[in-house]
This record gives sequence, structure tokens and C-alpha cells, in this order.
Amino acid sequence: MSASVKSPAVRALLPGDVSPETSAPTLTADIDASCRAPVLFFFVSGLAWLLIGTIFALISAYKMHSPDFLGNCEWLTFGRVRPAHLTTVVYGFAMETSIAVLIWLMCRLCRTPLIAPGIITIANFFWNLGLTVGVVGILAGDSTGIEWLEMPKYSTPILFISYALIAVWAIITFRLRAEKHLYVSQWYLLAAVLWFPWLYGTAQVMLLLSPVRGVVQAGVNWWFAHNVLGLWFTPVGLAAIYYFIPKVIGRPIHSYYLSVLGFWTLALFYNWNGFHHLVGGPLPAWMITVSIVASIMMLIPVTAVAINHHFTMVGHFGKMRYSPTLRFIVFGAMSYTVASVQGSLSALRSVSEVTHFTHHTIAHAHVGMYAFFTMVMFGSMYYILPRVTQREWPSARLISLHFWGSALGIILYVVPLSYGGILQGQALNDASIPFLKVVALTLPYLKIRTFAGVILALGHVAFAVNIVWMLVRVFGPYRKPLQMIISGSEQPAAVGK
Amino acid sequence: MSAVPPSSKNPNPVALTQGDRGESHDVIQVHAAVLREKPDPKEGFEPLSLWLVAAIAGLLFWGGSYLTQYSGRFEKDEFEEAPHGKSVATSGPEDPVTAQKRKGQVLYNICANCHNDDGAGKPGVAPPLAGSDWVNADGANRIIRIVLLGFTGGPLKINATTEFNVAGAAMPPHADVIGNDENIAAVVTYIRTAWGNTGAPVKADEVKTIRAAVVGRTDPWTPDEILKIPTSGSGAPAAASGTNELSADQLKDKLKALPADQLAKILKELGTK
Amino acid sequence: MNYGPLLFLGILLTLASSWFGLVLMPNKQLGNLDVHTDTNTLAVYPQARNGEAQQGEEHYRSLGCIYCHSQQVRTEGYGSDIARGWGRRRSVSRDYIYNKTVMLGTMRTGPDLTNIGERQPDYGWQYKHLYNPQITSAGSVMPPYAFLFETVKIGAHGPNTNALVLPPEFSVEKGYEVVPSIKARQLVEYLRSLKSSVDVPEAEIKKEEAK
Repeated sequence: MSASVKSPAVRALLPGDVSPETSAPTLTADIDASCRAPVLFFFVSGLAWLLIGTIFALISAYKMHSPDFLGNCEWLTFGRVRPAHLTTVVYGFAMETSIAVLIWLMCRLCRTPLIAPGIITIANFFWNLGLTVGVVGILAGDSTGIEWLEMPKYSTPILFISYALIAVWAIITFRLRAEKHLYVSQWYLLAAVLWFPWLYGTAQVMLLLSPVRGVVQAGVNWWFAHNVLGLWFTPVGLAAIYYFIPKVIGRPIHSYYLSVLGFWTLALFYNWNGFHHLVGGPLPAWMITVSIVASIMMLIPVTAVAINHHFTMVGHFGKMRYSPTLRFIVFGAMSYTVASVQGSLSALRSVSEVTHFTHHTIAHAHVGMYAFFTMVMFGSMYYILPRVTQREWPSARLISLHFWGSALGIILYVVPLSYGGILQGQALNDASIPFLKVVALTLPYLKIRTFAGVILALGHVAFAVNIVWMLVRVFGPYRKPLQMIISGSEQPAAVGK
Repeated sequence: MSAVPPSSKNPNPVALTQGDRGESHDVIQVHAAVLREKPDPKEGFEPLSLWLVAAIAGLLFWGGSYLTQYSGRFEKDEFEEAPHGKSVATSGPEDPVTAQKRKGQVLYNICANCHNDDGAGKPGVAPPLAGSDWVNADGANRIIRIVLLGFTGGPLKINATTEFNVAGAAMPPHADVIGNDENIAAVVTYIRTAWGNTGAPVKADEVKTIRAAVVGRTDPWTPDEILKIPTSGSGAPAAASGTNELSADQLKDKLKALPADQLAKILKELGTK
Repeated sequence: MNYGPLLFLGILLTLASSWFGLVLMPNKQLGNLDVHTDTNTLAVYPQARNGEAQQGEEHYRSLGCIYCHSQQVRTEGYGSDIARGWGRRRSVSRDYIYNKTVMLGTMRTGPDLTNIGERQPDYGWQYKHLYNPQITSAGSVMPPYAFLFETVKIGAHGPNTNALVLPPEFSVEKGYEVVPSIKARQLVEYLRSLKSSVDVPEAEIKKEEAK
């Protein structure tokens, strides 16, 4: 079996803070091998949820401009299939891939092979079970009516079991780490693991189990929903970017001080943002103002992180040609900056007056969750999967199709829809324009969005085919790694003939 | 350990006793991905740029001042962050009728749900307002009353030719929705002057008078009742409690509208009294 | 930053700050809001919904109406909510104390519904609009909710009083009528209960000066 940290052989190789280069790749390979089952389970089920979520997305998008589509089916009415889409992509694909990435990064950075893989596998089973129960519940009409928390009460305990197992595992691994130095990614991952149960628990108690009275519900709702983005998905995404950019190009991160600044200002400011979803709403002015200030303050960590990533990458952008991982990660990192600036500006009262309640908000949500987070997850999967399966990606063409499908698809989605949303908001603010005319002017942008969704779906299908192909090994014996095929170079001796 | 002969598909066979089909047992091949990895990331130690620190300080200053200015003293009753005097700005005094029409156009959005943006109405839902003799009549008495109290629906004739039946969908009263006399006058003015309509604008005083005339009544108008109400002025036949007192003018109109033989019958009856 | 416990403490305190400021403090300030009684008329606002309307609120939640409709009126001059007739005053916290699930909504693909009970209380219009929005609002992107209605044979006693009066291009075959199911009736009762044009201390309806 794989060598554990406690084995004398491994200990001899790792005195103190020595990095694995001197210990040979054995430990790294052991870590990857130990992660194999749990990480694969989470990645593959995450991929399945991505495909399901994409189908729900296409149905919802089409219904928005052609409402009679599947109009007679109560289970697929827009008000149910749209939250089903959100739930499957957020709590299915995004959550599960982030758990897989978290597991793998934790093990790699702690230099510890994965302990008790059975726990994670059980967690995965419970997560998928809870999610299936939840999504079917939403389609059946048991949605809670609370955005980002639509899964019915009866599915929550199942998910809670799963998450508790993962959180406990993560903290134990962290305690048992062999590598004393804490790399920046580990700060973000530890923070995410501790923050999420607090958020989720508060939301469950104060909104579902013992609901608070009146608009306090709206407050808790958006404190929770925004913090899922800012205190779970953003840290996991940033942890991945902080790891993969320097790893793939072989250069250090630009500035440790910027990393520290970025982490603590994110931790301090991000969690106060929630009420910017309620600008103009029925809440006392001070609550809204506080969130607006925090949203603008977010420019500090976003700038710090952007400078850090950019100056690490500068001079090495050419490497994106050879590394699919780098392509997706850099796209995601740049989108993080775009999404955050768009978000900070949207929080200002004068901007919110136009963009609130419009499709601009939806476009912004997709810049954050797709152009940033999902692309970073895709990039992570392109790096991690070959290492935990010890196989190579079968098809460079499918990778290309995936990248261009996702990149072009998301740009075609967010740019026209953001613009359409602004036009919609301006028209709404002119009371002399009848409401149905406002609806009519948004239709072209909604149709473009559906078309963009089809392109995204093509990318996802290409990705799924590639993964299944890799796992099933239909193509035969060992092949040259894609990196070499693409770059045309040959590594001597390291690769057997 | 059985050897596998080479074939055209697999020119370099390896021993296949364990592992997946085609999986290599060459350690270096298996760990190729790990071998070509670069070392794990490290941090560099570039110092923070002073420009960044200055920008952060500026942002903190802005945040602090915004927070103190717009917090409504952290009271739970303060919903406005600051007195927000955003009025529909006009340069210079505006012609009151134009202002009234503009206001009426905005209020008309409420009516447009049923009567359509272009006043064409919707079959089975609401009668047309554009080009309707009801709207273009010399006075807005009927229209104002309908707006105030609603209309039960039923067959009525528009322009003496078009039959419109709104069975099963009443027009609800709109007194509260549209608001005070100025608002009602504004929306009725808009209806009477838009889409090529030839009616005259309506003043708030008229609405006030009519409101006073119908005070106490909450039922919507029936077709019979509304047809009895004259289009001009602000009067109405007396309450529908049985008395049929008509003014001289109203009596004349009524008699003129009767078919000839009925008129003859009445005159004969009056003659015999 | 290699010291685990310090990192843990920082992580804890940063989230604790907003948990205190945005969850506990609002609950303290707004969690016990009560009704307002008008000193002149002794009318109480807001009023609790009747049973049918409460059931309707559940259908509103279950069908996901919030994904297109908001229920909050912004202040005068900010946006055009009041100018559009969506309310006579802005919404305040007190308006929502009797909502089981507060569904403020964040999208206006369809109009705001805070005061739809004042704007459109007519049963006929509401049923037609739910059955097929194209009947009353041509060009709308609202989906049809025909599954909330039943097409039944007209009985021996004649048409049902609740039957929808449909224009020719939407009507059903002769001898049949479209009747709202109990879900549709409850949903419309809920929509009719959505009214908030009452003066409250936090926000009064602007009284226009008489000319």
C-alpha cells in the first residue's frame, strides 16, 4: 500500500521542511494514489451534475423568451426548473469539484497522503443522495422559496452529514500535516472549510428550522447566499489559482505580502457584502450602506490578488499554448477581477438603481460562478485527473473544443446580457415606457443567451467525453502526454518508448 | 504469467496479468505525469507598492465618509439613506396641460394592462378607448364615473356600430389606485387626447364635483345605469331607488330617442290624464 | 503565517464580525416589529392573511414566482416604482411581518407585485392571466399555468360561475369550460391580499397639495 507519513522510510526522506524534490516524486505519487478514489468520485459525480445542470439551464433559458416551451408540464415550469438549475450547478458541480480540489490540494500541500479515504467516499455518497432528494423535491414543488437555499428541509440533514465528514477530515489532515510551512492556498482552504458550516447552519436555523420574522429573513438569506460565493467558492478558486499558476510555470508567486493582504482583507470585508442584493429594499439604510461600503472595499483584496497573479504570469503567458490547465486557470483568474469589479460597481446606489432587478445581475452571477469559478475548476481537473488516474488525456482536440466552447460561450453569454440588462434597467426607470415594451426589448439578448448556452453545452459534452474516454481506457496502451504532442518536444529517457 | 503475442493493434505488448487493459508496469511511464511536474509553488517576497498602499488608504477614507453620511444614524426606522430629492426636472415652467398629459401618460400604464398601450382594447377583456365616442364625447362625466367606481361589464355599443361584450370580466374601481382628483383628471385627459382622440382636457375640479356626487356609492356601474348618465356636466339621474325624475333636457332627449309609435302612445296617455 | 491557531482565530473573528453586524443586529432591531394601529381609524396594519390566501402564499412559493416577480417598492425618485403605480409609498420592514416566507424577489422580468391586490383585484383578469398570459398581456414572457385549471364538460345546470370567459382564439371546444382548480383560487386570493397602501410611521403616502 502507499507509504504513510509515519513510515520510517518516508520520514527519512522528509526531515523538517524539505520539499519533495529531494524526496523524489515517490511521496507525490503516493499522495496522488491515495487520493485516487475520493477525488475521482467527487469529480465524476460533479461532472454528472454539470451535465444535468446544463440541461436545466438550456430549458430555463429557452423558456425565458419562448414561454410556451414545455408549458404544460408542472414539474418543468420555469419557477421550478430555474432553481433546479442553480441547485445542480452550485451544490452539485461546483461544490463537488471544489471538494475534490480541496482534498487534493490539502494532501499535496500538507505533504500527507490522504487518510481514511473511506470517510470521503461515504461523504460523497451522502452528498449525491441529499442533492438528488433535494432537486427532485424542488421540481415536485417543495422549494423553500429562498434563493440559493431552495432544497427542501428534508434533504438538508443528509447534506449536513456529508459536509460534517468532509470538514472533520480536512481539519484532521491539517493537524497531521508533515509540511510545517503554510502556503497561501492552505489559508484559503482552511478558511473555506471553517466558514461554510457556519453559514449553512445559520441559514438553516434562522430561515427554515426556526424562521425569523419579516425582512430579517431576507437579510439572513442574502448574508448566506453571498457568503457562499465569497467565503467558499472564491477561496477555493483562489487557492487553486495560487497553486496552479506558479506550479505549471515553475516560478514563485510574486509577493508574499500581497498574499497576506489579499487574504485578510477578503476575510474581513467579503462577509459584510451580503445586503448589496437589497439596495433600495425594505431594510434600514444603515444595513444597506454598510454592505455597499464593504463591497467597494473588496477592490483592495481583488487588486492585491490581481497584481500577485499578473506579475507571477508576466513573461510566461506563452505557456498557455501547451498547458490546458494554465489556459483555463488564467482565464478564470482574469475573470475573477472582472467579476469583482463589476460586482463592486453594481453595489453603488446610483448603479444599482439601473441594474437591480434586471438581467445584468444574472450575467454578473455567471461571470463569477462560470467565467471565474467553473473555469478554474476545469483547469484544476485537467491537472489533477491525469495524476490521480496515472493516465493521460486522450484527445487534444476535445480539450480545445472544451476550452473554446466554454470561453467563447461564456463571453457571448455575459457581455450581451450585461448590456441588455442595463438597457432593461434604464427602460424600467422611465415610467412612460409600458412594461411589455421593456420585456420586448430584452428578448434579443435572451435569445443570444440561449445560443451561448448551447455553445457552453458543447464544451461540457466535449469535456465529459474526454473524461469518460480517459477513465474507460478505450484507446489502448500508454500514449505520449499531450503536452509533448502539442509542443512537439521530446523528453529524453523520462518517458518510456 | 502468460505472454501476449504482438498483433497489429498492439505492436508492443506488455505482460497483462494484473491491472487495466493496456496499463503499463514501467514505473517511469506510470509516473510520467508526476515526473514532469515542476516543484511545488513557493512565495516570492516583492515588497508592497506604495501606490497600492496609497490607493487603499484613499479607499478606506471614502468608505468611512460614506458610512457616516448615509447610515441614517443606524436607526431601524430610517429607510432613506439621505434626502433624495430626485424630481422629474424641467427647465423652466411647463405648460400645465402638457404636464398634465405627461402625468396622465404615466398613470395610463395602469389602464394599459387591459385597454392596451395604443388604446385599442382587448376583445373580451376591455373596450377600445381610441376613437371611441364614449371617450370623445363633449363631457367626461361617464368616463370619470367609470374610472372612479368601475364597470360591471355587459353589452354596450361603441360608436353606435361596434358591439362590445365584456361578460365575466368587470373593470375594478380605480379611485384608490390612480389617486386624487389631479391624478384622475390627468389620466382622463390623456385618454381623451391621445391616439388621435378629439376630447378636451379635464380639470381636477370636475373630478372633485363628480366624486362628491357619487359619495357613498361603492358599486360599479351597470350598463343600464351608465347609459342613463349624461356625458356632459357632472349630474346624474337620481339614485336608482325607483324615482325616475328627469330634468327637462333629459326628458326631451329621452322622448326624442323613442320610436315614433311609442312616443305617440305616451303622448296619448298624457293627453288622457 | 504558519501558526495554525492564529489563523483559526482570524478566520473565526472575521466571520463573527458580520454574523454579529448583519445577522444578530438586524434581528435585534427588526425581529420584533409589530403591527401599526392608526390612531384615528383604529385600523391595524398589516393584516394577517385569511386561510385561503395563506395557502396561496404556499403555491406562490412552490411555483417559484419569485424568479420573475419582486415584492418591494423602492422609494419615490429612485427607480420608477411609484411612478409606475406599483405602490403609493416605499416598502418598509413592517410590511413583511406576516409573511411566512419573505419573498422579496430580485428580478423584474415581470412587474412588482407588492400592491397587485389594489391594482388588479378582478378574479376574471387574474384567472385569465394565469391560464394563459397572452390573453391579457400579449407579448408577455410569463409561462402559462394551464395546469392550475381544469377543462370540464359543462354540466346539466349550466356553466360554472367561476368559469373563465375566453376570447375566441383561446377558447376550448364547445360544451367544455375552463374552471380554476383550488390551487388557482388560493393563489388568486393570495395575490388579491397583496396591498400595502397604508400610512405607517416609517413611510407615509405622499399627499399631493390641492390645487
